[in-house]
Amino acid sequence: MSARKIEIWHQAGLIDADTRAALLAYEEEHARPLALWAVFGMGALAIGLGLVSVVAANWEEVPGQVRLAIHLALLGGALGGLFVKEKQLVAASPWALEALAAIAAALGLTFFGHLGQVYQTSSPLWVPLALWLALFGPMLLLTGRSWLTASLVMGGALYCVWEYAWASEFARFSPDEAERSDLWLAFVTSAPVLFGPLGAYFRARSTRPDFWRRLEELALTYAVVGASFAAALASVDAFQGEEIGPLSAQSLSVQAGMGLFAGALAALGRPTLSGRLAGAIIAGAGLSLLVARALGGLDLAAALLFMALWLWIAAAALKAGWRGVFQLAVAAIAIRLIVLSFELASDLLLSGFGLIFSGMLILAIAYTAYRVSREFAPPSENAVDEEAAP
Amino acid sequence: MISAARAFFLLALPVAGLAALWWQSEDLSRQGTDWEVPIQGYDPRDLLRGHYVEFRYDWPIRPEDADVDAGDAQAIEGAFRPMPQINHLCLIGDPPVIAEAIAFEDPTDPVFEQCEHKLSVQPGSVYGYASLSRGRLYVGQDRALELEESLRETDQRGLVTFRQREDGVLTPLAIRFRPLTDEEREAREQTRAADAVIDEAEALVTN
Repeated sequence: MSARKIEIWHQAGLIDADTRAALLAYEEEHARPLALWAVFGMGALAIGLGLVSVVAANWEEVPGQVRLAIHLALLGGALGGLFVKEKQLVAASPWALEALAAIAAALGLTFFGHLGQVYQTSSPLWVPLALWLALFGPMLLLTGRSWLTASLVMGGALYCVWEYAWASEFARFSPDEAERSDLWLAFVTSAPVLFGPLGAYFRARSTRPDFWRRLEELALTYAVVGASFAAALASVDAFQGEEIGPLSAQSLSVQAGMGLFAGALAALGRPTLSGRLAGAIIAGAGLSLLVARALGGLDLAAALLFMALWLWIAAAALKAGWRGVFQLAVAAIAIRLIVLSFELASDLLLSGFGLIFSGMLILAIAYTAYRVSREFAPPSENAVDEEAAP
Repeated sequence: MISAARAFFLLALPVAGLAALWWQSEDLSRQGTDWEVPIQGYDPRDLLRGHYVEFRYDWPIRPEDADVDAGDAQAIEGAFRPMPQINHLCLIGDPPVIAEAIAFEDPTDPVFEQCEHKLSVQPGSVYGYASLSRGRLYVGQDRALELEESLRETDQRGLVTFRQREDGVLTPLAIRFRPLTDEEREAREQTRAADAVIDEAEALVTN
């Protein structure tokens, strides 16, 4: 990428030939062909989608059993290649292996749809998703190399648990189906956050740290998004009178407990500064679920809770040197401040003076946030990561 | 040892697991009695499973057995006629011909429990609580278009063959068409005439 620049600097006399050679060698070794990776990822995605469409459009020509047999044989081939050729594929390009694992997982997921088509059966969506996770989750966890497989695992888990919770809402009104308790649903919906400690533990111990790091990050994101959502619900007073169901105190207690538990495990699994702070964020997100419930109806307090959560994240990011996370946290706080100004002063907006005042306030908040995130943000994550790496 | 575990999780578990599910679906699909039921309908499409035709079942339920609630609703709402929800059906007849279908609200009704050929609503299926009122059959793209045309033609009668399993699950198997009989054509004309009268009455009321 920067070879041309280095050459120009050399010719301008800024660097000598040795420095030039050293720089070029360094760049060569640390090159991250992002465009190439993106093409690999998109190629894998396109093949997966193409398989679904081919199956969907031209399937009546071939008998069902034959089609299913071909589908299973393709899947067996992909998995066999993954198992036998893993070392060679990784040596050639880690992305080839990543794409193959993702294709195998996609073939596995489409097999459920294919079965439904051949036998004219249907079931609630969470059932095939849960079976898919049970059959293909271990494979993905054992071979995943990067964000693609990590997102498949986390995405599959989140889709599955929320479909399950959604289906249970209907089961509540049905006499035929056993009712699932609120506590069980709260446990199930918060279970994906446990991928956080899992990722944290294996990050330092596996030959595939990138995969586990992505998994930990995704779990942390899930916890923070959930806590922010709870704070938003508190500011619209959604908890009022919810004595049973997903917004009840006991449900949120279970989820908060899961957050604290996952946070503690994550900190234990990766006892570096960065690991302990990541664990602290997950635990803090869990705790803010309970605080949000307690604050229900007090819109100023709910807004303060949201900002406290993100200040906590910003502080952790500052200490651990996560530049992007810090900037995101500052942006989240600024947006919440702007929304708060509308909430508190909605009548001001009705007058011309109020509009001018609100506009100035928004500009001031945006400018301050911009300055803070420029001035105080730690240096870029990658640089820190490489320095911190043992 | 580690290699054996890897082989299990990377190869055996996914492939054998899916094969077992396949075997189970195959086994289930062979159980049950085949019946034919008249249908009405139209079509959209499903991305994951390709094309399907969607239809409403015209169960031969005798008018006096028809849902009482729907009758009340009709009395209250005037011309507005909601489709009654069917929760449980008892099929009577010589398969595949259904002589009569009797609707039940309560599955513990002794008459229903005695019934030889039972169908029950499947809340977990695509149509949920409407799964005995509406259904779909997956077919290829070209055939789906053909069927859609046929279903729109009112001089034909669509018939769906379905398999009724012991546990009350209904699985559509095939679809075919036959021209309307004279009686059916007459009945259709009568319904249309009645609809026209209701529409006129509605128009008068709203004006």
